[in-house]
Amino acid sequence: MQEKISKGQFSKLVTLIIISTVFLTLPRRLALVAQWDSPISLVLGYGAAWFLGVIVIWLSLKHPNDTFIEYSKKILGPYLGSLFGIMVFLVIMNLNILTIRLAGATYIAAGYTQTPIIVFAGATVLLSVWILKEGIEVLARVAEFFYFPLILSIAILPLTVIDKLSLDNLFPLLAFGLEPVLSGAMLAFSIGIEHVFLVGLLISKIQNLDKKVYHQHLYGVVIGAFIILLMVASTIGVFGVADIQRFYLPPYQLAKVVEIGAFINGIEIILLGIWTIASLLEVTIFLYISVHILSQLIYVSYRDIIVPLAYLFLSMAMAPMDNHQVESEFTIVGQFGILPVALLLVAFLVPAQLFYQWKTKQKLGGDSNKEAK
Amino acid sequence: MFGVVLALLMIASIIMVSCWDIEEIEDLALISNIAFDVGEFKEYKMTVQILLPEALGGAGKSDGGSGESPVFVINAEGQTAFEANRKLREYLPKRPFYGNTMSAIIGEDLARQGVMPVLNILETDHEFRRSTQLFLATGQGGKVLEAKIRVMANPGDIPMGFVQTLPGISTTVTQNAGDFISQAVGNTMEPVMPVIRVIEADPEIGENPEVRVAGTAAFKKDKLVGFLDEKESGGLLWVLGRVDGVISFQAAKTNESVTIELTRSSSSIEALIDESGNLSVNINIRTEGNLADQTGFADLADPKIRRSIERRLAETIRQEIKSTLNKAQKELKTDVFGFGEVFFRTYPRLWSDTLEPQWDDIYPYIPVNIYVEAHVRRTNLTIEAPVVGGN
Repeated sequence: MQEKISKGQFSKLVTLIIISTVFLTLPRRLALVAQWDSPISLVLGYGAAWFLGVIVIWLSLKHPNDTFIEYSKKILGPYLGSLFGIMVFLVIMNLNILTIRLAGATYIAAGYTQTPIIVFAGATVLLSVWILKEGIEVLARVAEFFYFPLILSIAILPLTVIDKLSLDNLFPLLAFGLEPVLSGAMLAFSIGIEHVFLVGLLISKIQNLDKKVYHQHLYGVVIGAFIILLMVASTIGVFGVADIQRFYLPPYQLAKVVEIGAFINGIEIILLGIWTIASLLEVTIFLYISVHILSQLIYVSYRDIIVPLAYLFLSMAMAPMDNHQVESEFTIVGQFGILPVALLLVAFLVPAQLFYQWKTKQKLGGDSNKEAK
Repeated sequence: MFGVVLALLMIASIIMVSCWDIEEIEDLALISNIAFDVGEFKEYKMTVQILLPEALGGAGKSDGGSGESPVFVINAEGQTAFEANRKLREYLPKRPFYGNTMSAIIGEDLARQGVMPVLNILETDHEFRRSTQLFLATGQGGKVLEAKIRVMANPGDIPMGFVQTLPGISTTVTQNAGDFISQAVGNTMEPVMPVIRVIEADPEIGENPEVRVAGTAAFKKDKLVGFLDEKESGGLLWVLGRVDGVISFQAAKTNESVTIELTRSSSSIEALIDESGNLSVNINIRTEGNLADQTGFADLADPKIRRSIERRLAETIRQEIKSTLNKAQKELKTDVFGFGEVFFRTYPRLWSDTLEPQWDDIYPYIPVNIYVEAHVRRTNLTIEAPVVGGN
C-alpha cells in the first residue's frame, strides 16, 4: 500500500487543516479577545505559526526518514523524546474530541434537534477510520478532491454579503493598545500551530523531499490563513464585533443573511455541507496524528490502533452531557496545552538538534580521520 | 478513493434529508407574519398569520382561488414567546414553520415594557432570520395581521410591500430584527421602528380594516420612549443618509410651492472635541434632485431663481433635521442618530473611559451644526412652466 504523498498534496493538507472547522468557530473566539483588532491578531498569530512550521521543516529535513516523534527520541533521548510525544498526543487527542463533539453539535444547533448527536459524530468518525485504514495516500487524495470546492465555497460567501458589509464596523483599529492584539495573536497562534504537528508527521512521507517543501508549506499557510482572514473580516464587517461575540457560529449567521435578488436565500444549508467535509477532514487528520504518535511511542502498527483509538475518542466526545461541559473539559488541554508544547519544541528541540548535529559532526570527523589513517 | 467519496455521499444523503428531523411540507403551517403583544393571562401573546396556499389559487385558477382569505390568523399566550409558539399547536394540527416569516409586528404596550424578551427568539431560533422586518403597531400588533388592502391579493404580503415602497417616500424608516437587536444591545446608537396603524372600518358595510405606515417609533435600549412624526422621520433619514423620494417647500422669492424629486443624497457625521474638552457634532448633507413640480410660473432656466430654490431646499432640509434633533435630544433623550457611534469610532478610548458611562447626561446637550449642500440639476421634460395667459 502506498505511503507517500506529493508536495502539492502536502500543501493542500496544510491548507485544509488550517481552514477545517476553524473558519466557523474562530471569528467569535477572536472577537471575544481581540475585538476590532481580530484581523491584525490573526495575521500575527498565523505568521508566528508559520515560522514554527518552518522550524519543524528544518528539523525534519535533518532527519528525512523520521517523523518528529522519532527524531525527538534521537536528539532528546528516549525518555524526554517519548515524554514530548505523549504531550503532543494528549493535546491532539483533546482537540480531536472537541472536533468530534462540535461536528455533531453544529447540526443540532442548525436545526436537526430530533436527531441524536451520535448519528452525526459517529458517521464522521466511522468515515475517518475508513479513510485512515486506506493509508495517508488516500487521505491526501480525499483532501485534494475536496480542496477547490471547499475553498471556493467559503471564499464566495463573503462576496454574497458584500452589500451588507459596513467598513465602519471594522474600526477602530489598535484603539485599546497592544494588549487585545497580543491576546488575540496568542489565540490565533494556538490554533494556527495545529498544522505544525501534521507537518512534523508528513515530511517523511513526501516523495522527492527537498527544500521546495518550504514553499509548499508557505503556500498552504498563506491560502489557509487568507480564507480565515476573509471570514473574520466579513463577519465583523456585516455584524459588528458585539454581535459576533454573542453568536455561536458567526459564519453560519452570515450564510443566513445572504439574499441574492428576491429568490436566493437560506444558503446556510450549503455551509452545513462544507462543514460536513471540513469536520470530516479535521477529525481524520487529528486521528491520523494521534494514531501515528501513539504507534511510534508504543511500537505497534498504526493501522492496528485506529479503531480502538477512534472508539475511545468518540466515547469521550459523547460522554459529557452538554457542549459547555465538553468545552470546559477539553479546551484547556486541547487549546491552551498546545502553547507550552510549541514553546518546548522551540526551547528544547532546536538547541538539542544543534547539539546533536555538533556531536554527530565530531563523531564523523573522528571516524573519517581514522579512516584516512 | 472512489469508495470513500461514495460512502461520503451516502452518509450525506442520510444526513441531508434530515434523519430524525424529516418533515413534509404538507405537515407545516407556513407563517407569513407574526405579532407580539402583552398577554391577558400570561406574559406574552403571539399572533401568527398562516398562509393558506390552496386559497391563493394555483395553475388554472385565474380567479385567485376559492374566494376565501388566503391567510388565517390565530394567537396563543405563554410565559415566553417560545412557549406561546408551542401553545399555538393546541389550535393547529400542523407545526408552525417560520422559515418564510417576513415581518414581526410589536404591540405598543409590549414595546413600552421592552421588546427584547420576544425578539430574542428571532435570533436564537434556527428558523427565523435576522432580516425579518419589524413594525411597531399603535395598539394591538395582532390586529394588524387581520387587516386587508384591496390591491394585495395576499394580506400576508402587506408588510413587505410597505418595506419595498416606504424608502421612496421617506416618511418612516425600515428596520430589520438583526439591526434592531444590535442597536438595543449596544451602547452607541438607539433603535427605531416604522409605525403601522390600523384604520378601523365599518364591518356592517363589509369594509375590512386597513393599515397605514407613517412615522417612526423611537426606542431607548429596547423600550419605546416616543414617536417621530412624518416630517421628523424625514429629518432622521437625512442624518442617517437614507433619505429618498420627494421634498416640498415654499420658494422664497415667488412664494410658489415647489417639489423636488431627490436623486442622490449622502450624509456624514463628524464628532468633534475642542481644546477645552467641549463636544460637538457636525452633520454634513449633500443632496441632488430634479424639479418635479411647481405651482407657479417661475422661469427655472434663470440661474438666480434656481440658486434661490437650492438655498430654500437646503434651508428646508436644515429645518427638518433641527426639529428632529430637538425632539430626539431634548424631549425623547434618545440617540437615534448614532452620535455615540461616531464618538466611539473617533475617540474610542475616551468613549469607553468617560463618555459612555455618562452618555445619557451628555447627549441632550451636545451642540449640533448642520451643513447642507443642495443642487437642483434638472427640470425634467420642460424648462418653463406653462403660463396661463402668457405670450
